[in-house]
Parts: sequence; structure tokens; C-alpha cells
Amino acid sequence: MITGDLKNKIDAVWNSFWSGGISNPLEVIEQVTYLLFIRRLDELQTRAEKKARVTGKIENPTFLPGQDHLRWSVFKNSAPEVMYRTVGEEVFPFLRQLGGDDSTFGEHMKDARFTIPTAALLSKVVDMLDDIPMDNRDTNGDLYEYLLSQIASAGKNGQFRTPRHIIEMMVAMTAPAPGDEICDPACGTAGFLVEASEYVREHHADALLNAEQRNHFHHSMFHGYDFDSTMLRIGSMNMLLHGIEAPDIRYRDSLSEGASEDADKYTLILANPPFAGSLDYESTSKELQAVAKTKKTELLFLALFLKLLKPGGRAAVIVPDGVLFGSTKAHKALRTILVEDQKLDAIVKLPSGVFKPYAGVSTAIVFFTKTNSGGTDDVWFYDVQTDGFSLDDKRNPIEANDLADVVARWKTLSGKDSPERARARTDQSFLVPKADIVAQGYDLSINRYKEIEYDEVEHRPPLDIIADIEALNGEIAAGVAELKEMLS
Amino acid sequence: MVELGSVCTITMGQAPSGDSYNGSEDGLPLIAGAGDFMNGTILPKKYTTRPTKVCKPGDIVLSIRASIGAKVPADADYCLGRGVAGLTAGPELDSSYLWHFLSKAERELFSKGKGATFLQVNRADISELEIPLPPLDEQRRIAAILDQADAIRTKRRQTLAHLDDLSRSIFRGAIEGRDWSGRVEGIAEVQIGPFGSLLHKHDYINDGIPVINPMHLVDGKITVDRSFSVSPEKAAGLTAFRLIEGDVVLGRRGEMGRAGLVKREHVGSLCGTGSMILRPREGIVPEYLHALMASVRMKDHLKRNSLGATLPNLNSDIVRNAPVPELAEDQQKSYRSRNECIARMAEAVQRALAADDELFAALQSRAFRGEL
Repeated sequence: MITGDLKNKIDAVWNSFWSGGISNPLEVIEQVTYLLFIRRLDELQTRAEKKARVTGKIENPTFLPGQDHLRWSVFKNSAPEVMYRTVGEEVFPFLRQLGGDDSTFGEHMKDARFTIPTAALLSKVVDMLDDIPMDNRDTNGDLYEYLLSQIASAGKNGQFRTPRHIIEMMVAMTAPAPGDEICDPACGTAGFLVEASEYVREHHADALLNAEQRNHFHHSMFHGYDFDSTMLRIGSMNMLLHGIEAPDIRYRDSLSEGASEDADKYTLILANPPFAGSLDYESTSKELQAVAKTKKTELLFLALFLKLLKPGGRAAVIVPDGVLFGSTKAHKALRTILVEDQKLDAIVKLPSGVFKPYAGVSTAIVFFTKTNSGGTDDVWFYDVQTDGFSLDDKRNPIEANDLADVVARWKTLSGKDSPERARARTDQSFLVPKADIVAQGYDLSINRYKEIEYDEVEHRPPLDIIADIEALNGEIAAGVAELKEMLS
Repeated sequence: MVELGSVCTITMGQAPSGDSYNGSEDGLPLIAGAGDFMNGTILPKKYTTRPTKVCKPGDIVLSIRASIGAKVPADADYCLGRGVAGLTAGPELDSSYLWHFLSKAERELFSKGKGATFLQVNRADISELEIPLPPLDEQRRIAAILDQADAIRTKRRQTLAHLDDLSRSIFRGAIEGRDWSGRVEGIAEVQIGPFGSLLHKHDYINDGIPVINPMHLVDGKITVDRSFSVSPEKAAGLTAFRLIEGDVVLGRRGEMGRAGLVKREHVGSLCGTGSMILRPREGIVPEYLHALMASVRMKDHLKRNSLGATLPNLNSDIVRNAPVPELAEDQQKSYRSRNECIARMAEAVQRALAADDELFAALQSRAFRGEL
């Protein structure tokens, strides 16, 4: 958590950006990302130099002789004007040619642009970033998370930042293991991947002691794709700062033809793919269209996930409600595949305010396992009523919160005598046998299966009411007589 | 006749300073305006620790802004806000007589209202009202007569409310304990209204064949709006959507469970885009079908199964699959005859209520002309 002094510092920098003329939060984060990267380059070089004292030779130096003034530790001490000139005219061109760093991140830097408008602002930001201890993974990650939480606008292509507590729930439910290959094909700021990495660190600390495992963790466990280069930079910086050395965060239009090479590659997919996004229909993968002939990105992404997963791989995907009941051919085909050919595990219905204030869209999380041979027995449904925040545009924290219960109940499911098996359809969660889903034409909306206890309004027996009417009639008659008397 | 101001004290309300407001029941309750009146009693939302103008129990609190003339009797001390005035009857005036006088003068007072955003009356407007001032005993006699006549119509309204309950209770009795394993499709043919493309904006005319949309289904009845209609030629091309006697029209957008029964006078009207037609199958009594579709349980079911994020929407599948109880035809008929009996009674009470209102108005006007 970022609190107190540090938080105030970041807020102050944020305000400086605003008053300095950069008001787009994405751009602010992008500029901070560059600066953090520049600082990291310096630290890598310092580490290499330390090593060189023993070995006598610097391996893969980032800065060549004569480039020392481009190093963070050097320019941070110069006067603001000098620093501004150095960073703008030399460090950024250097960054752009760098292209290497042996990571995809260096690749994202090749179109780096320096847009901080004044020397004063630059020196303020550099001071602030320099104050933050970089050797602490938690602080780095938290700092970045804090910045990311300021991205408050929906993207043009139907992207929404997934609320962190929903991500946490999905990760807790899918419980990533050290051997997993995790992919988010629409990764944005890489929130799912970051959370998954933290989960593995926390629950499988031992596994990371093993060199091979550690190598897997840092180099081949996490994969994220996006087609927004700003998001890619931010996403990979987010991973980097959360201590993943070389995450595979790449440019890829996941729905296009080119995406087919990764078929059967991943064991876990966590995603909130864009809905109602714009789509370049012409270049959309024919293979995906063969599964679902549609222009709906949410359906094409589901088809993609089915392809990307290894048999036995699992997925947790946020979808708009319409996926569960939509009546087009593509909708029905996809649902039939999930139920008949794969193993549909669960549908967790979210309250419609989760993405407010950006969208009031009603969503659900679909959990499935790729089997290519069916295996759906009972599908678990959970009707989330509250996620711990008010469901209006304000999203104020509130006491009621179902999310912990979702995870707790889900974890009992594998047990033979799980209480879930005994739950009635009037409960908040329950199991529905496959046959019932087939009978409903593969409709997966929870309302199809949930039974409501109707508490009828209590009506008095008719004769009681009639007695009252009779009494009233008597009173009316007497009243009229009395009134007549009064008037005569 | 004297001016009201000469026989009664008028206290014009005044807003207390904003920082004295609180919701924690500290100080005196504040009546800001008629918004704090609720069914003839006072329901204050705020309190103030520094009341400006105060009324005493027995005073009449009169709204002087917007809903000018609305009034409630004060049952305790209240702070009077800017939207109200407090009236205290003087020694020559009976407060019950004053109450009835204010009812009668409501229209006159309202006509004095001035203001651009909302109408408002001032102290002079109230004070200048002319009130006949017979001796106190006479005032009390007049007030007693009006009280009596008012009590009669209040009881009549209660009777009407009871008949409403009775009707629901009878329906509930008919379906109580039944097996809800049936489906709407088993008891009625379901036909969704014409698609928007079949009915264009330019098709709408005045005084043609009425089109029935959810807004025309009010309190379980079809209320035709002649300005919402199409030409006979247009209607002739949409035969599948013409209504026949005994059909039930169900709204499929917005508020769920709006349903109306097609009576003889609605035959030939068109089902609108926002509605659907339920045509009872053989052996199904239309009145029963109507009551079923409008029932609380059906409404709940439809609401839960409706689609659409902004505007709830029903498709014909949802309605076809909605669960219904099994009920034999003779039981449906017995429900219908009971219901018809209640409806006849309600109609009679409704007419009696109209007579009560007329009687009260007649007495009121005579009372203040000195003819009672």
C-alpha cells in the first residue's frame, strides 16, 4: 500500500503534470514509465560494474564509454535545464535505438517520446522517483499500481480497467501453480498477470527457490498481448516493477490471422477481453470465425481462448451478460461447445455496477477447462449481489461483500460432500446438471435456473374483508342518517 | 364577512440559518414546505437548533409555495420554514371551522399565487381572504356537519380499498396450493407485437385504429388513446396483430406485469410494438388469464427473466415458458363470477363515492354562504 508521505509525493507529481499541461493520465504514466526504465538501465549497469570488479570485464554494457552522462545517477544531479536538455536530446534518442535489453520491454521503447513540457517538472519527477527504493519489489509495484489506479477512462476499443478485487477473486479461484503458463490475450496494464505472479509468490514460495522454476517464473510463465503500444509499455513496466524479469508482453492483435501460432500453448487464461469493441472484420482470423461467425469481440475472444489453451488448461473470463443468453447462431454455437465439447465449470454472475462509472454493463465470469472431449457434469452458478462497493456511480466502499464467499464456496466444490451439492436453487449458489442446461437450449443465464421463493403478499381471508366492508356499510348508513338529521 | 387576518394569527415561516440544520433530531423539527406533509400528517426530514418561527399544537400549517393551500394540523411544536405559514384561530373563531374554510378557499388562494419559478402567496393574500363569521356555536355546528360528510366519503374510500384486497384475496385463494408446473404457452397463444419496421412514425394518425402499447395499460385496464392510432388501411395489413375479445395484452418493455383484458369496445385495435398478445386457448377463461398475468408472482418472474440492461424487455420465449398453475375450467369460471361480483360492487361504491363527493361540495359551498 502506498500511504502517507509517499502518497503525498506522488499526488504532488500528478498535480504538477496536470498544471504542467499533461492531463491525460495515460500519458503521465507513460512518461513515468520511461523514467523508471532509464533508472533501471543505470542500475543494471551499476550491477554489471560491481561484478566487473571481480571478473575484470563488463558483460553486455548498456552504456558505452562516453555515454556516462546519460545515466540516471549522473544527470539527476545536474541543474534542471541541463537535465532537461540531456534527457530530451540525448537520453530518449538513446532509448529508441536501444531496442535490446534482452527483453520485450526494450522493444516497447523504440517509439519512446519525451513529452514532459518543462525542466522544472522533469526535475520534480526525477527527484520523486529517485526517492523510491528500487530494490524493494513491493514498493515499486505499489507505486505503479497507485499510478495505474488513476487511469479512469474507458478505452476507445471497449477496454475497461478490471477492478482489482474482481481480479483477485478470479486469481484466487483459478489458483495459479508454479508450473502454469499464464496468458492474458487482452492484457492492458497486465493486472491479471501481476496478480497471478503475486499469488504464486505467496502460495508457492518454496517453488521459486528452485533455479529451473525460478527461470520459468521470470521468463516463460507470463504472457500478455495487446494492440495498444502505450498499454504494452505500461503493462510490461508493471510486471517489471512487480519483480518479473522478462515477462512476455507483446504487440499482437489477438483476433487477427497471425495469432494462430500459439495454439495449445497455455495452461491458464485469465482475461477481461474488450466487449463491443471495434473489429477489423476483414483481417479477423478465419479459424476463429469458423468457430463463431460473428463480429462480436467477446465471442471471438472466447473462441480464441479455446484455441490457445492446452488440453487440460483452464480459463476464467469476464464476459458481458449477452454471451450467456444471446440467441444468435454464434452465441449458441459457442455455448454448445463449452458445455458439450469442453468442461464448463462455473458461471459467476456479477452485479451490473462493477464497471461503473465507466459502464453499467452487466457481466459474468465464465470458468471452463479445455478437454476437447466434453466432461461437463454440473455447472456451478453463483449470483454475486455485492462486491463490497456501492453499485452506483460513486462506488463507495460498503460492508456487504460476497467475493470472499464465492472463493470459499468454490474451494469446497472438489470435495465429495461439498455443501454446494445440497444447495437448493433458491440459494445464492447452486449446481445445475448438464441435462438441465441442454434442456434450456444451452442458456447459461442464472435466472433460467435460479428459483425464487415467492412470498406472496399476505392477504386476509375474503370473509374477514367482507365483514369489514359490512361494518363500514353499516357505519356509512348510520352516518348518512345522522347527517340527514343534522341538516333537517 | 370579515378578513381572515382579523380573527386569526398568521405566522409566516422563515428559513432558519443553514448551519443549524441537522438530521439527528436535535432541536425542533422543521417543516420546510409541503414536501414534509405526508398523508395529512407531518413528516419532517430535518431539525434545527435555532428555530425562527414556531407553531403550537392545534395550529394549522398551510403551504404557501408551489402546492399552495395544502395543509396539515400541527400535533406538536414545529419550526415553520419558508414554504409554510402557521394559522392560529383567535377567540372568535373555531379551528375546525377555519380548517373547512381553508379547504373551500384553497382555489381562491391558489389564484393569488405569483412567481416565475413557482407560485407563492404572501401574508396579505391569506389575510385578505373573506370569512363569514357566525357565532361560535353556529361555527361548530357547520364544522360538525362537514366533518360528518367527510367521514362518510373516507369510509367509502376504505370500502373501495377493501374490495381491491378482496379481489386479490379471491385470486390468491383460487391458485393457492396449485401445482405451478404448467407454462403460459399451454394456456395461451403468445404473439409478439409487430416489429418496429412494420409500423413507422409516419403511420401514426389521429382518430384511426388505436395501437395498444404498455403506456395504454393502466391499472389492469386498456385505456385507448385516439391520438396513438393508425389508418384502417395500415391496420388491415397487420391482421395478425388485431385484437379480439378475450385477448390479454401484456406490456413487454419497462415495468413488468402491465396487462389489460380486451373488452368488446377494444376489438380490432392493434397490439403495439411494445406489447404482446396472449390469446387464451380453449377452456381458458380470459379474466383468469388476465389476473394471472398481472399477479405479483408473474410480475416477479417476468422481471427476473427480462433481458436488457437499461430497459427490461421480454421476448415471446420468456413469456411462453413462464410457469403457471393448473386450474380446472369450472374453477376458473367460479373465479370469474366471484370477481365479476366484486367488480359490480366496486362500481356501485365508486358511484356512491362520487355522490359523497358531490354532497360534500354542496354542503361546503352552502356552509360558507350562510345557507346551512
